[in-house]
Amino acid sequence: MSTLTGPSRVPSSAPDTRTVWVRYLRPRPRRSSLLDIVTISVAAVLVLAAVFGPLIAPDIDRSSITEALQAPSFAHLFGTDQQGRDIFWRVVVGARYTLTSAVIIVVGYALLGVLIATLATTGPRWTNEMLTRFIDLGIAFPSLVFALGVAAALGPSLPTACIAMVVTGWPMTARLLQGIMKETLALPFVEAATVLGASPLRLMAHHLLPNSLPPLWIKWTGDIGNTALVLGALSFIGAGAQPPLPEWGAMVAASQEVAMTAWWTILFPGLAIVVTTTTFGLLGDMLHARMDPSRSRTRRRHGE
Amino acid sequence: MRNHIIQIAAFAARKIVGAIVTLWFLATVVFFLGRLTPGDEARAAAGASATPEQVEAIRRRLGLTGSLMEQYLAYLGRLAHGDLGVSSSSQGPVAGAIFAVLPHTAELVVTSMLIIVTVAIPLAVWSAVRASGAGDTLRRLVVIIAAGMPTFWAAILLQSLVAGQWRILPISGIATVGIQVPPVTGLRTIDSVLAGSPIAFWDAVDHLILPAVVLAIPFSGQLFRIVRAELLRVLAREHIEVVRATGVSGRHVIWDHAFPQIVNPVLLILGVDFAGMFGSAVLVESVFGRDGFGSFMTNAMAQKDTAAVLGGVLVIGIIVVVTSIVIDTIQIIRDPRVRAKQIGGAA
Amino acid sequence: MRHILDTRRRLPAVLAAAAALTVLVSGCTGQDPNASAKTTQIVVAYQNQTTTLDPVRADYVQTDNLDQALYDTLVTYDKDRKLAGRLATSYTYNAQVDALTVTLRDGVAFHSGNKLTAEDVKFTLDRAKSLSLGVFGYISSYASTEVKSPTQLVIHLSRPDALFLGALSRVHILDHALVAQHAGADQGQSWLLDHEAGSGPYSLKDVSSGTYTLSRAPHYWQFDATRPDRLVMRRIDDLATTKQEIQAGNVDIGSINPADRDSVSKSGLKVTPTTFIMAYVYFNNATGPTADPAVRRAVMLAYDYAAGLKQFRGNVGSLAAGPLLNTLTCRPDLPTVGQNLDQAKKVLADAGIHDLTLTMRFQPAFADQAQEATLLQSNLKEIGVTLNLQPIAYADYLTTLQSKDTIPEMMLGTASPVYPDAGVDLTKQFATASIGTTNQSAYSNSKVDALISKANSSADAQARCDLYKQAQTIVSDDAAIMPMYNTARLKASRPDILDVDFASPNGNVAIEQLRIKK
Repeated sequence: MSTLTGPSRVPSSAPDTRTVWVRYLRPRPRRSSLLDIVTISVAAVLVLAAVFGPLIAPDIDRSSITEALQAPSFAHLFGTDQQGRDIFWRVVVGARYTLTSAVIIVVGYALLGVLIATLATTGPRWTNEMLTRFIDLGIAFPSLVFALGVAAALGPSLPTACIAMVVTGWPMTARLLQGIMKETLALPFVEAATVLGASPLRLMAHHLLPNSLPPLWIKWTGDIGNTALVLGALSFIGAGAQPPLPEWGAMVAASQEVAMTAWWTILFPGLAIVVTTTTFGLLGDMLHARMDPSRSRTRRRHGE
Repeated sequence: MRNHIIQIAAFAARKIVGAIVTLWFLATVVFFLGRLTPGDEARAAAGASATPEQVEAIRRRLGLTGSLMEQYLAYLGRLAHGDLGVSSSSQGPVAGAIFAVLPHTAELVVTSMLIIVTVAIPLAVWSAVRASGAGDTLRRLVVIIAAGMPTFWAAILLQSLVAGQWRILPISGIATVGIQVPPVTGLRTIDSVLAGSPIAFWDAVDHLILPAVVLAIPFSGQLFRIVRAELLRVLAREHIEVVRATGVSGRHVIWDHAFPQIVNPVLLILGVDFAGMFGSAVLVESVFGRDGFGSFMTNAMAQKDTAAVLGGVLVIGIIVVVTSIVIDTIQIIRDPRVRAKQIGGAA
Repeated sequence: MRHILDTRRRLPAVLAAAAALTVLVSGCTGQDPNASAKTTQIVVAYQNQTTTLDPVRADYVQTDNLDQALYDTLVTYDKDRKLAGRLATSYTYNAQVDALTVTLRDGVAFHSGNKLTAEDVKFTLDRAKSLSLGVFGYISSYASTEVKSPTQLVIHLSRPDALFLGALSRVHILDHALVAQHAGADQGQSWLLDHEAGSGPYSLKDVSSGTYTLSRAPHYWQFDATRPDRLVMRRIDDLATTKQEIQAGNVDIGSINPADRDSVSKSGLKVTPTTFIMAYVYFNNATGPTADPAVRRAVMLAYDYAAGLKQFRGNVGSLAAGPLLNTLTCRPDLPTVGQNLDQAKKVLADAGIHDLTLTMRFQPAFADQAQEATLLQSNLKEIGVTLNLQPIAYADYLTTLQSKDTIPEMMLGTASPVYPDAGVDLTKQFATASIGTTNQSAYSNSKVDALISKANSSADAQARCDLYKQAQTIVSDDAAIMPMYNTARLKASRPDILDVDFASPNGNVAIEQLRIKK
């Protein structure tokens, strides 16, 4: 086991002397690979679909059974669903609901989780214990029961499902971050910083968080796609978006029965989710690479 | 030395008391949540054709009369004796119902975890070492896409191909009809070993493979990406170059110097995933026709069987809390610096 | 730490070897070791959790399906859905229709060896009354039993109830000596969860993880060698998985999605419609916007029934013509439903209704219901009515039925009669007295009440039939509910299995009637 000093402000051949937070806001530019460019382009397309989709789409809610379950063709690029509605336009319009919800949910529980984990790590011993218990309670709490409870109280809808998922999602973040920070807190450089007079806030902002967050970027960006699917599952049990909302996860869940014969009904919304997950995943890798406080020429040599 | 033992004892006591407090909070919140949501449990239990008199009779029998506080205290009292109550939908004991299905899900989850640890982690390490070029980009893409696939897709795809068409593995079920194993623990793999039947053992394992793989895919993908990224971060640190300069071979650098740095987040994620899998296994179990804890909970919630729901929640709560304590303890054993902070006393 | 990491590197190789070995060995364990040429067996796939085997809960369909094989009832319904004796050789009402004299057949023994006598019938009925659960809802008029001899008894009812006799097809007779032995503190309910105390054509051999193994009872009073030696009930919730298992030969009969009908037929399997059900929308006739008959009629004219039947029910069945399922007898000739958007708009306009918003509840777990709800939503939009869809769990829905103010405006559902008697559904659904329990539409019409109560106190089957027909005509004229279509589930089965279309009183496949062609 290595007992050498941990990372943070390790000098490299061309030291990045900007403060940590400036680095987050304006990452030092480096050569972008083709993959990065493609990723950003796809992300842009998704955002455009979310913003403009509902404005340019024709009527996507009108059922027309005579056209039900048609395979993809020039008239219907992604085919039609069980109600005879055009899947392509439903996927495009759905971008707004799914993407917005997924991003809001993940950002929501990320912020909440970071806040609670921070309090749980740097407070006095008794708040640590209490909050740790609270986090454990959150992890053990059945998210489904809670989602159904919230739906019963507020009426099932997409916003209700978002609230339920934020409230049940933060414990994972908090637990992960708390565990990582506990280890980081025990590193010598933290003691050194404390000895040098750093206040808990400065400790947190400049040393603990930047060194503990990188794994969470990956978790959070990976969660976005999964969130869309869970939203769909929630609709299925009656706690999420209701018909006729073209939420991607709901479209996937609703087409399970005909999936074997009418593959396009589940393929295209599923693909939309996969593309979103992949894009955000790759964005997460990019974030992870650029915002690591420790820089060295080895990493730049690897083209990371 | 004596001081040390006292500190460890104090630490253990803190953890255990904390666990009990957490479980008590959990029971309380879910109890009130269940009672305050709409839906009449007595009505659901009495059946669709029940008259109001019948419903009231059931209500009395289920102990659903009296104020909320009275019911809550009665519930806590039973809990203190280890009695999880009676299921309102089946009239049977809740504990019995849970422990009939929990082992199946436990087997599935443990098998999935084995797959994740033995496949995803070494692959991620290997990928981090070869971290550049088109091959690397392709591998990363494949992993992200596979992990982002809806579980239902993966389940149906593997089931119809591997089981349906190629007939390598069974399509569904926990075991082949006709192979019987006396239930000792409820874990079919263990029970068949205890019964001395290799055929039953391999049959049980066969039926576990596909569902465990499908369950493991999303978690593997996430772990792969985190391990890879974190390992790259560690490998880029200056002290690794120093270690290399001293002549340590590549393999030792990775496994003895770099990998230990990331064991902490890996263990944390595995711990959180372990508990989460019990719930997310429900879709896999449904597609692969396996009786399990997930469908038990879904059924209990649909029937408004509050005793069963509470029982299930508490069981998962115990699993979460125990996993949490285990991980924390491992963290302390591994890292003397954390040990110093947690047990040593200095805040 | 070093040791653990070393094993981590070797472990993948070890596990890969184990996996390869598993795949090789799996070829040896693929077959069921007990199904040789000597013992015949049928493996039946079923969908939902079987909560218990206790006959008092035979109101749960899964429980009743198994109990029909493990137990006997006094009477049952034959292949043509006509009442017939099972344990009872004769059954007669008195003139006031409040006492039933029953003669049991002689020489029947339980699987335990105990003889079946009138004491067992009395025990079963008294137990249901004392537990006041489940099937007691069907026989709530039961008061007491008078045992005259081991094969003669008189059942006394608290009020005239012509429907009581048919309800006995869901009351499974318990071995009172055996149950008394295991009564415990709850009259045997926990023991009967996974044990049986019956006299039926099959006895329970094994229960594990949702798989029930039944073996043919050799001393059954109506022993038939064409019944398979073994019946295995396997739980598989997913219909696509069921289809794969049937095609692979691991399951012999199970439900399939209508979409798979053609591919299953092509692979040489028999496809049979079974479990006939009716799809309805129930309106709240008493309170809210749907209390106005014009609103109800407009909604009934807006839905595209033919499209719904074709697309969501695989075109299995026919459009509704009357408020009761078409497998029942005693039904009048009523017009078939159909969509007529112009007429719907006219009805609303004539009643002066504009900008109407309605809320419909449905059970989201049923994919076909979700689709039907979406179609109705779109149809209603075309006549200017906004329909909001709100899911609800079944248990919560039962609670809303307790008062006419809480009954939902509209509720989508399917129903099948608890036993094949037109009077059951009429009384449950349309009697004023049933509001607060089973009357899902808060419907109340004194003329219908009079007809129903006259019929239920009459012993003359023909007279009852006519009265029921009249009641149905009034219900239909009042537009109380919106029947959609008569449809069925599809069962795929091995071609050599007979009597797949023999329905149990609850409408499902009667598993104890399945026979194998020699």
